[in-house]
Amino acid sequence: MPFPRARALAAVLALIGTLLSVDPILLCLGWIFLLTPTVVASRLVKVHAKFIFGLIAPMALALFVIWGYLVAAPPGAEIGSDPLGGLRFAALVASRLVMLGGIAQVAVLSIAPQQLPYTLYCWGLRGQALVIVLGAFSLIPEMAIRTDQVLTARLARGLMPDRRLMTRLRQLPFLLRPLFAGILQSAVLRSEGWHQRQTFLHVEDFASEGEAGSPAISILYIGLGSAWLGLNLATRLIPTWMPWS
Amino acid sequence: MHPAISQPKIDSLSEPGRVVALDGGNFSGRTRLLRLATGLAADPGDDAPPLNPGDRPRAYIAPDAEGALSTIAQTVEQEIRFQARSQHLDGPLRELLGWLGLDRLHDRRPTTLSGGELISLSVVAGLALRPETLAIDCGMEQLDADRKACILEALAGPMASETSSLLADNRLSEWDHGLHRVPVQADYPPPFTIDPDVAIPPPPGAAARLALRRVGFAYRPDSPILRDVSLDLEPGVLYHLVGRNGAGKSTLAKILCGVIRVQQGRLERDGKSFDPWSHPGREVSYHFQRPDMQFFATSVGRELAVRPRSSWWAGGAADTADAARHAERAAAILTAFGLDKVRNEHPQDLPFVLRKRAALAATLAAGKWWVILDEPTLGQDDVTVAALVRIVGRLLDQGVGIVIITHSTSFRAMLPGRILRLETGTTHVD
Repeated sequence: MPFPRARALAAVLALIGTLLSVDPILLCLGWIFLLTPTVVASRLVKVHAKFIFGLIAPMALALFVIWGYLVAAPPGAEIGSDPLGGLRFAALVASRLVMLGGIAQVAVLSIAPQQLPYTLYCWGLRGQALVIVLGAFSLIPEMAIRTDQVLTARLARGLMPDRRLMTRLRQLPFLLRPLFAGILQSAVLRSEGWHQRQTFLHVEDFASEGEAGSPAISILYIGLGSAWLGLNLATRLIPTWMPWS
Repeated sequence: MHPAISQPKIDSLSEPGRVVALDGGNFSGRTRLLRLATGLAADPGDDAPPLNPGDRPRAYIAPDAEGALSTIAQTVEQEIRFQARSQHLDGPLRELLGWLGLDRLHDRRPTTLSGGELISLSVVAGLALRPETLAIDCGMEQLDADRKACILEALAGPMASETSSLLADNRLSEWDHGLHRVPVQADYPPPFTIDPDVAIPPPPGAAARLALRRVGFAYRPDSPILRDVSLDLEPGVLYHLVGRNGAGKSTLAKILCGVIRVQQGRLERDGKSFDPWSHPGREVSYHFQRPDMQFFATSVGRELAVRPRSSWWAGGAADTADAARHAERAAAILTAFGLDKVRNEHPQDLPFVLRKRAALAATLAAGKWWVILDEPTLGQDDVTVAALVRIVGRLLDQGVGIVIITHSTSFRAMLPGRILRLETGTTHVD
């Protein structure tokens, strides 16, 4: 894994590169040849696939329909004047979202849990801010755990006659209050534990030898981020630079 | 209501290398004492005293250790490292991890661990911090005898030579190996007592015989937790399901009540095949080891009043009569369990001892002819346990079938029943 600061620098370079990009083909190539191998190496294939198929794919479809068919023009142009331009704009937005989300996933979700406090510390978070951000990280898994618990409790008491989707959906009103009460209680207990164990008073303890980062991987990550930024900068400055332009 | 706890009293408990057991009943102030001794506020949610960089860490392990899980960690190994601030687990600690059986669970999700395994994990992570004080609040009650001895040895040994270990435990008589006992007594009568003389109406309908035929289950294909388990369960009989932590006792209970699906073999009801997974909670009501897993209502009274309906469109006179019977039963159980005073409180706001009791009451209020009680005595003192024994006895007289999962030998001795021993996934009936 890269050093925490190298991880942040590489992510920032890659994010700036993506935001500067105006070429959907280059973004797609970046996703295939730069981001995907990094996602695989970070063992985030499942998370990334969920992101792509669960969020980006439906959103991209909607964008293509809106800008390519309904508006049939890119923003600023007369409606119906340029369907191809509309499609190109939709592709640019969708491919940018893929890259931005993917980079954020690699930058944050590939951090080993025991390295998370130290990484956030190196990124400048201290004291209560650190606790709040870490608490936010635990929120989603906590919600999943608690939801499962409430549904299980209702199953065990015979309050769900079966497991069909409609039956599960009917549990929603019963789920919300215990969900939030449980999350709040867990948050209090967890922060108490962190406080007395001085978890964040000695954050540097988390940077145990061998796990803080690898120089080679750090250089590789920064190299990839810089290359991506340079590529997009060049495309922006010299629009005819790419073979397909 | 709370006893006053003075600082000298807390200081007198602390002595590095010594294991002190707080000997007292429920509501005697043991939990507050343990919390204060480990640098927490007396009650959860209140502001804790500030920390100084020079202070050594302290660790309080609550009866329900699941609340302390980071939820960020994906595996047991990661969770230990997170809780232990990535401190190096040296030889003796690694050895302890092995003795407690946690080394073979290193890649399991922490949330799938049994109650005893979670307590073991918290103790190892706590010891890794070399804390000034380590307090275990009723957690030892969830451990099998071997694990208990193992942890006690660790607390009294060189790896905790700079740590004051404090324990609160209601079953001290079962395992008191020369512990330094400190009596803790409240100067007021116990505020919530169980009244076993309250008449509890029997469940509606009739009891059925249940049977398991060569039942198997595995959370992971390579390590089956239950193999070829065959049992015949007669109504009106008490069964004690016993076995080591992680032997599959709770898993078997969840299969019986339909929370998880049997993977091999089949279940029978009165000799006919039945699938609890398709009709969860219809035949068997399950009291979870961790009470917080069981609550979903906004008050204790509502938690008990909830009843399953035969269908979503159920109504009419039959349903009204059923609702009246359920309400009568729920009210009787609420009184019997001494929960009248907290009927309008949110279950999560109660102390652990009452949460456990409320969860137990809710299980019985469900009105099933079969109940599985997972560690029902957890956090309950001897007086409460004696009252609980009488309630269980009365339910058995009504013909209710009861399966109890407990590590408490004294509780088993008070309630003689058939022993179902789970060993390496299969059962032996004693």
